[in-house]
Amino acid sequence: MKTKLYIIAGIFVLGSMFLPGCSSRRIEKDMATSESEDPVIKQGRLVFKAKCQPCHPNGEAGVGPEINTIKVPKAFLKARVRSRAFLLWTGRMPQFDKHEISPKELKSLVTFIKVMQRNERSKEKTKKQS
Amino acid sequence: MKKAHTFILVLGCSVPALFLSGCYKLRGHYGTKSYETVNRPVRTPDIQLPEGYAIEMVSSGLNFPTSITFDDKGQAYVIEAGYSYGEIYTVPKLLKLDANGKVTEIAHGGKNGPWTAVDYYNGNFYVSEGGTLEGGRILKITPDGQITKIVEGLPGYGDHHTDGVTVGNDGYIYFGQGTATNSAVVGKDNFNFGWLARKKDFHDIPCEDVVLAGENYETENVLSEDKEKVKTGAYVPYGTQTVKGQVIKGALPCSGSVMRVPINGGPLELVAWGFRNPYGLSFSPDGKLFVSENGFDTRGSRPVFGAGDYLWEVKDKAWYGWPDYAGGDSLAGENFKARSIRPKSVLLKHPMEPPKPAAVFAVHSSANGFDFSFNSSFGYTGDAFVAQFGDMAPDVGTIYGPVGFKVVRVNVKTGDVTDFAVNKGFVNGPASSLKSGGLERPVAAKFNKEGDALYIVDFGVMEVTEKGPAPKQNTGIIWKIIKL
Repeated sequence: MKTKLYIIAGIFVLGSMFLPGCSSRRIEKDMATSESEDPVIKQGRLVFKAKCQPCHPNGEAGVGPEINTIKVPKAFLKARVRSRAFLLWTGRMPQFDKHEISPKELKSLVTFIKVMQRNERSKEKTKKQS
Repeated sequence: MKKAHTFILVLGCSVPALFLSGCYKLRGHYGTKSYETVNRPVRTPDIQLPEGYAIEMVSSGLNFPTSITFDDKGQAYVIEAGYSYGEIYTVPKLLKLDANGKVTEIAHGGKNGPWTAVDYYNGNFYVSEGGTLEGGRILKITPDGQITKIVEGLPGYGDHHTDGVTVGNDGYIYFGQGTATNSAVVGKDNFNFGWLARKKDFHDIPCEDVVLAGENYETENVLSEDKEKVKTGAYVPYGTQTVKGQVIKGALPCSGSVMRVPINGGPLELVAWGFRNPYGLSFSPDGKLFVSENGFDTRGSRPVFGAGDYLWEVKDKAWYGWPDYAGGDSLAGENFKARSIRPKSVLLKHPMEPPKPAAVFAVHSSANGFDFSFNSSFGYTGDAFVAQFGDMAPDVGTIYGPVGFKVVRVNVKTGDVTDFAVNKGFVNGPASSLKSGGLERPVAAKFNKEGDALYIVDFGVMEVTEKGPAPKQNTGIIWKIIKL
C-alpha cells in the first residue's frame, strides 16, 4: 500500500512539472473575486490579502514566486501554510499557526487561491481563443 | 491518517524540484547608469482599468514630479522634486498645470530637495521639502511665488526625507518624517545612498526616550581608507557602540514620525511615531488621518526580510513599531529572518504594543501618495487610492518579479487591496521594462476639487543598475482617470 502511495505521489509530481508552470500569464484584473458575494471567497480573499499578498501580490511573483501557476491539491497548500517543514525547511515563506490563520480561515484561503488560479487559467483560455 | 501524512510528506520532499527547475529566477539589476532623458511612449490602451473608467495623459516631460494639488477654482498645480535617488540634483519647482498640459513656474527652491508633497489651503501652497543637504523643511508658498519657511531643521538628510504634507481642517499642517536608516543602525548601505559621507554623525532620533538592548553590528569602516572594522548600535552615529540599558533621549523633531505645526507656524507637536518612512498622508472623508509607510528593506547592517508596506490609521501619540516591529508583528519571530539571521530587538522595552495596519501592501511595492474617493460619481466612496512607486530591487532585497508600478484601491474597513490602474502584460512591471506605453513609477494619487477625476503623478523612468538608481530626467507624466 505504501509503495502505491509513493508511485501515485511520484506520478503526480512529475505530471505537475510538465504543466505550463512557467507561463507567467498574469491576472490583468484583480477584480474577479473582489465583487464576490460568496462568504467563503470573501473571507479567503481577505486572509490572502493580509497574509499572502505581501510576497505573492495577486498570486504573481514578488518577493516570493508566482503561485497562480502552481497547481497542487488543497491539502498541499494547507500543509505548506501551516509548516515550513513541509518543504524540508526550504524557501523563506513563513509558516502560519492557528492563532494567525484559523482552520476555518485556512479552508477559505485555499478555496480562494483555487478560484484565483481558475480565473488565471480561464483568462489564458479566453486569450488563446480570441 | 498516517497514510495521508506519508502522501503529503512525499509530495513535500519532491516539490522543491519544481522550484529548482528554472522557472523562478531572481530579478537582478537592469538598465544603464545614465541620467539622460529617454523617449517615453504613451499608449493609454496599455493600462488596464476597471470597466467604465478611462485614462488620459494630461502632461508629459516633467522632471521628477512628485505631487499635485488644486486651488479653490480647481486649477491644478504640480511640484517637481529637484532631487532623485541616484544623487541627482535638479531644481525643485511649483508649477501651474493647465488643462492642455502646459506648465508655468510659480516658484522654485534651492539644492535641498526632494520636494515630496504639496497641498493648497486658504490661498497658499504648503510643500514638504525633503532636506538632503540642509535638513527638511515645511514651506509656505504664496500664489506669486514668495517662499516662507514654516518649519526647518527636520532630520531629512538620510535615506528618507520630510514627506507628505497635508493640511487638516483643524488648521494644522501635518507631515511625515522618514528615518535616516533602514532599521535604526547606520551602515554601509547609507554610505551607498550617498549621505553618510557628507553627514558622518547623522543618525535616527527617537521621539521619546528609549532604552537600548545593546545590540551592535560590525562592518568594515566605510569612512576610512584603513581596513579596520567598526561596530555601530541603534540610534547613534556610525562607528558608535551602545550598551544594554543605555537610554537615548527622545526629542522633537524626530525620525519616523508624523508631526504637526499650526498653519502660521509655532511649536512642533508629535502626532505619532514608530514609522519607518511615512511617505503619504491623507484624511479620509470622515476626518481620520491615514499614513502610508514604506516598510523595511533587506539591506544594511540589520536587514529585514519580507516586511510589507502598510496603510495605517493614525492614532494620537501611538507608537507603530519601528525599529522592532513590522505591520504590528515583532521582528523577533521567524518570519523576518534575512540571510538566516533573525533581527534581534534593538530596544530593551517597547513603548507599547503597536497597532495593526489598515492594509498591507506587497513587499517593496513602495506605497506612496494616496487620496480618498469622496464623490459617488467617481465611485468607491471612502476607499483609498494608493500610488505604488515600484520596487528598487535588488538594492532593497531580491525579488522574483517586479512589484508595484501601479495604483491600487484599498477598502480601509476590510483591508482589501485591489488593483485599479495597472499595466497590461504577461508580467507586472514598469512600462519601460514591458516595452509598453503605460505607467512607469506612480508616486502620488490625488482627486480633483470636485472628486470626479483621479490624477496620477508618475515620477518617470528609474532603472536600478549595478551602480545604483538611474533616474531619467524629464520622463514624468500626469495621468487623469475619470468614470465614463
